[in-house]
Amino acid sequence: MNHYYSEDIIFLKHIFQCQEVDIYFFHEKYLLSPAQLSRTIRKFKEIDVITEQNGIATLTEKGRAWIIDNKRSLFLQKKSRFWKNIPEHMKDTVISIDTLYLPQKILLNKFRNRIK
Amino acid sequence: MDQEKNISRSTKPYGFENFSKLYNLYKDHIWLENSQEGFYDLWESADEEQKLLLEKLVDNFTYIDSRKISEICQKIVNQIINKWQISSDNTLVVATCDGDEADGSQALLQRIKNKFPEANRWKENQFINNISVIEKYLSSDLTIVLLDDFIGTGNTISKRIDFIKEKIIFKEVVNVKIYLVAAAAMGFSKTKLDKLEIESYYYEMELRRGITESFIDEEKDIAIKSMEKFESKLSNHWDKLKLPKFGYERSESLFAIEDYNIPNNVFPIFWWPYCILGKSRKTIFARVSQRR
Repeated sequence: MNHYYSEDIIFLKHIFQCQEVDIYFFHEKYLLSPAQLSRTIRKFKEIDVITEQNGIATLTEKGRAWIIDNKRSLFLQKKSRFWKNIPEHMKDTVISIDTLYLPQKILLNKFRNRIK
Repeated sequence: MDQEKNISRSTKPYGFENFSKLYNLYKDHIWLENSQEGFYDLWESADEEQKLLLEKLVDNFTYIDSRKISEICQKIVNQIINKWQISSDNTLVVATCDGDEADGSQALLQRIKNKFPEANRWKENQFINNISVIEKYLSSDLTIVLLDDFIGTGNTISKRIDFIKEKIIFKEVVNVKIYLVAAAAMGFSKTKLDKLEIESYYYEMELRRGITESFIDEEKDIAIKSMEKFESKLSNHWDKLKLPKFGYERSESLFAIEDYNIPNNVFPIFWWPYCILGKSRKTIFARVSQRR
């Protein structure tokens, strides 16, 4: 099953409404990055949903029919909230098993106060 | 169809011209998507001349994805079996890795071994993943095919061949033939490879230096200055490693294989992980260094 990202959905909504869109518009309005847009455009070009020339994306007839056919899965599905996952580089080092750990006294006091 | 990977939005809007340049780069070079933050940081730190250089370097970059590496492996096998007519009898295919650490040559060996037809009686024990154990396999009338993923200056491969020759003398075996294969090599390493006293060598891709062999006249001088400017922002040391300016021994390589360690011959702006004053930076490629 294909995976559609939020940028794909934004792109499809606009192109369905306008038929023809300047790709820069998505960057200016939604801050979609060049990398996001290049992936989105490539994805929909591969299945002939759109054509692209000189930075303008155009919805094809086949594409219009495809969006209508798939509107439920494209626009009504609950998206996974990837931003809720903590990125690896922001996680602290995990203390290995049996390592001695000295808690900070000040934090313990806070905890005790909360229990009261 | 595409990878399960979220790509971040831009943190600030680019002007139309900047956006178009970046968009076209991403459109033409899908591999940039793997490391968009590293590339954006580099792009944003660049002046106009440096941006021009970056565009050319990315255009000339040889990135081998897993599909392409599979094709290359097939061509290497074809070279060994059909062109060199090496049979499975008394033949070893040996990765150039000589240490305990995982290595690109071992990864390539793993990929290549199933492409040797079993009908020609190639067996798993003919594929050796570490050259340091070669001594126990040495015998007279043996054929050794040395395998590496990338040949930069040719220094490493020369050392490995000298090592094998020492062992041949030590073990007093005769008529041992050595061949060499690699996925890619820098063109300038050919002079060194030609001097190796081996039967033959083969590599699938020949690469040229990213600046001195790709730019001419005034453009070359500007490109060198731009690269020096980029590198002046990198830290001179990474633990005990010294910054290899323009790549190891100024190789100026533009080459990477998907999911392999990037060679240190590549311009360090693509992989060196520290800025000046030791601040870490996001890089386009990752390199786990061996000697620290």
